Amino acid sequence: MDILINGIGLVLNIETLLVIFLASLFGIFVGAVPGLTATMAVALLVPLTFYMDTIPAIAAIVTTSAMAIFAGDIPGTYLNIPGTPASAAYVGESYALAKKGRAREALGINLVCSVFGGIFGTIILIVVAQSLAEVALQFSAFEYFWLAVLGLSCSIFISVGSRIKAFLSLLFGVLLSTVGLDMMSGAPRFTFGVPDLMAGINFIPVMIGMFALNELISYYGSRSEKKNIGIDDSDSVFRQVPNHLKRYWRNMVRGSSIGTLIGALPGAGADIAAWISYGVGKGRSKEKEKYGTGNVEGIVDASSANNSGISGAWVPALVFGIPGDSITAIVIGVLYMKGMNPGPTIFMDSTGMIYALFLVFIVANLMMLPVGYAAIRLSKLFILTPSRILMPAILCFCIVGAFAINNSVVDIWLMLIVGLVAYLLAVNDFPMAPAILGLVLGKVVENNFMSAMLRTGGDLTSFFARPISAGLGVAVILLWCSPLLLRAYRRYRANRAAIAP
Amino acid sequence: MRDLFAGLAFFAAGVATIMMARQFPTLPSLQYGPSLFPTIVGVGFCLGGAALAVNALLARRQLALARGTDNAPAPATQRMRPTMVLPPLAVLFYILASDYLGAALTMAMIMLVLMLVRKTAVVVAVIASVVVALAIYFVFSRYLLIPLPQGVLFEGGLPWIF
Amino acid sequence: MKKLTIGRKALCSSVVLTALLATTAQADYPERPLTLIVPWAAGGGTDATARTIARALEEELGQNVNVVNRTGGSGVVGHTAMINAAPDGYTLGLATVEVNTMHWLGLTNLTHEDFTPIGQINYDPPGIQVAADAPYEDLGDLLEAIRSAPQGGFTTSGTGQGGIWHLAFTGFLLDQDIPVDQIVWIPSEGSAPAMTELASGGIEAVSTSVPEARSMIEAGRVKSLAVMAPERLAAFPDIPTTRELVDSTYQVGAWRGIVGPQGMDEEVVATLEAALEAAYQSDTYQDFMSQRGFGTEWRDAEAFGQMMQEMDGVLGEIVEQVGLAN
Repeated sequence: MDILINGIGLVLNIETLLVIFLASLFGIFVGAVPGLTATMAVALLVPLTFYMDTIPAIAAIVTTSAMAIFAGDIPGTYLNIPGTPASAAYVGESYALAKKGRAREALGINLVCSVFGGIFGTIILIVVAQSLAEVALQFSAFEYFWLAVLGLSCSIFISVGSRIKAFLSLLFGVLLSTVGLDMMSGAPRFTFGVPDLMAGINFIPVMIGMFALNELISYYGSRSEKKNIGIDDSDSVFRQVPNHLKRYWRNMVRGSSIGTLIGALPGAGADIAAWISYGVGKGRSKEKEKYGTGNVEGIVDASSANNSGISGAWVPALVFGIPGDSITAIVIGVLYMKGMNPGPTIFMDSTGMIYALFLVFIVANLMMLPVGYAAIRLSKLFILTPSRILMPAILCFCIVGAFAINNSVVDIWLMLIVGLVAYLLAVNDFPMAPAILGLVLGKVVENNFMSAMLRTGGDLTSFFARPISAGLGVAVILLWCSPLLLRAYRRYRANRAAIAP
Repeated sequence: MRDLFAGLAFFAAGVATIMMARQFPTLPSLQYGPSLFPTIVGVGFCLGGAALAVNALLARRQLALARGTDNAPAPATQRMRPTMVLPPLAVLFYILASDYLGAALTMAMIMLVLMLVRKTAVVVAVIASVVVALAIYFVFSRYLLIPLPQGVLFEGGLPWIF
Repeated sequence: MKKLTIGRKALCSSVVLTALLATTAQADYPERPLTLIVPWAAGGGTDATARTIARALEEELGQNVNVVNRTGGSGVVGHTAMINAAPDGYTLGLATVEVNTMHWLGLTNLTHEDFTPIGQINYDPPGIQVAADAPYEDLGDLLEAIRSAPQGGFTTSGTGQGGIWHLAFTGFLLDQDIPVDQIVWIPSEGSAPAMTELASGGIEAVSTSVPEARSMIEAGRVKSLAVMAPERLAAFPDIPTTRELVDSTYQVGAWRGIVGPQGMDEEVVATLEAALEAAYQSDTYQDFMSQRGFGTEWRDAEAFGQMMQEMDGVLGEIVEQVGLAN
């Protein structure tokens, strides 16, 4: 009991609470600026954490990352430019809602789902961290391969419009992911002698190019100064939330569970969690046709998944010192630095540190409600500022954001080139979101496939040799065949109906 | 019609990708290696592009059959103003000029031009671009420690702000 | 006449000015903040080491030392940025062992000769880890298993293809007269994924530095059979050395050191070398390194340069033997 009180004391003091508050403002800023992501925000915090105590340092990271993942939805909703890749899955839904004058409603449900997802993930972390980490540790290259293929397939099946175009867009992303040093052979691919390209293509400049540059070109290409998004006085942040929750609470719980599980897997993070959850949500929805037209259901699924993924990623990080995503990869370094060595011992320590850490998660997620609310109210600025002033400013943020990821001009070039290609694709009705996912997951699919083949000497049946791997594999194949099966079933029914009379 | 071109473009890109992938080395113990995935992507580009082009042709024929003529005008697309090239040009300008002019001045110039193009009042445009450029510069270089180019022009620092 | 005077005056004053600048550059160095380029990502072990030594250096030099991460391309990007910096002593880099491997692998043309060595601050020997429930009791069992495995039938991992732990481990096998094609190296993106693979039974042995395996060792999922060092590590006194076990003097590991671009002023280098040695000895740095379990090893500019030279030859030979030379 003393340990618990000690732990609470470590969090509920002025310094830590102030850090949480400031970090949440920082997170909102970073998340809302297209081109700055949660991972980058945490990387930028690392030097600062050198001068902080353990708990404030962790609090700053937890708060910033949770807040940034939520805030990524703000520019997504108002400008159709997702602030972070984790928002890319459902940016279409929230932008469509905003066009109907329901921007605040979309962000309100988003905020509540994010808070719920974050806390859900935390509770899982507190209660079953050890056993969940055991499950996560069962995942080898075979399982990751299937999981990534599942994510890729989702992006095609949930996209609106032509499947062929979604497929080509996805391949474009996969092709971008093959640029750089091939991990398996160490050979450079498509680098054209540019050393910076050996590092591969970072998805942040690509995302800025695909979404932001595309919007900017469209704006300067059109004559209209009129906003797509209007202000509707009846639009309120929280008024509709109880209704939606009553209707979609199952989606919220399902999204959070999927998010936590995927987040806990090393090598899959919040962005994949959002995609898969959105895909599962659509697959099980009774109103599939509403997807893509501003459906709250999809937002509920995906936005609770990405925030619970952030919490879930801490599970293997704390239990085994193995990062669950790119943020916890940085966190582990900070934990070591602060003498809080990850591993089973962290749960047995007697100074209350671990309770303090859990409490930090809860407080940070609860802090999202007021700060997020204020941010949603404030984001009216996106509407009030005339486009002719807002758009040039966004362009500058994009340039600087692309540069900041590696402090390299090559990334600005990348943003420019990919942006131009993406513009050509977008005016021809190619969806952009599958390309982002292809870029994020392409490497995961390839590296795990090659790694598995290398160790089994090219035996393809090995993908079905392990139980989890076989299960995932069957799921993927069923997903692929589902349109065919469905069509066959319908034809069978139609035939029977025709014969019956 | 546009789908036809898009399809053909993807087909060409697919062929190019496959050609380039053929130059990659293979792994010692397997028959395939770094070239496998780019080749798959290339084949996918070819198949998808071909499917897109064929669909476009079929759709066109159907359209033509439905209307009874073959020279039906393409659906009118929204005409784009030539100013659409400004955002990419602005990015290019930043890449080329920021080392010399410094990030802050380059951004201010970009924003000023972009604002004036959309007929912003001159006073508003000047104030907004300068303020936003300085704000971005300070937030990023001072607080986020991103080494934005200071500019050869201002080598040795700007005494009045640093 | 007047014109000439002005011209001469200008010439004289500019000469004086340059001379003055030159002397002040040495005497007052450093008079503005320094930049330390790190070729690896924020949050990793190298990054943490860099930030700690930067903080200790700040106290010695009385100027801020800003750490800038230039990541990617197996270190090529960051190291290239280091050699391309102005040799004025205001941009330094934390070079890592990849300097000795990248050019052999054909990734870049830069070698250790493109740098001005200032001082080595760290050395980590490789450890050999297996799953805790693996059938090998000690290093002898493991080596026997590798020897008797069918060709290419023993899976190992730890870093990417041609990474330092790959080369170090293969070099050790060569040292033990085991043909390198007995093992197949499964490249991985860093040590953490390799550890997961080891624990999930995907591979049979992992070679990384011992601190990188620490949390998994403490979690009881992984055991370390040996460390390739002349003496046991202070932080891990239970792990025997290869010298004790198989009487091998083979030693290839990961070093980190501070370097500058070629053509630095000698006095500036001397100033930095002295400051770096003091920073290395500082409690800030020593406490941090021992707490993380990282190895400390000091070499001054000259010895550091020699060490790079030697290491370069050794690693070049291993790269050749493994068949990765390009």
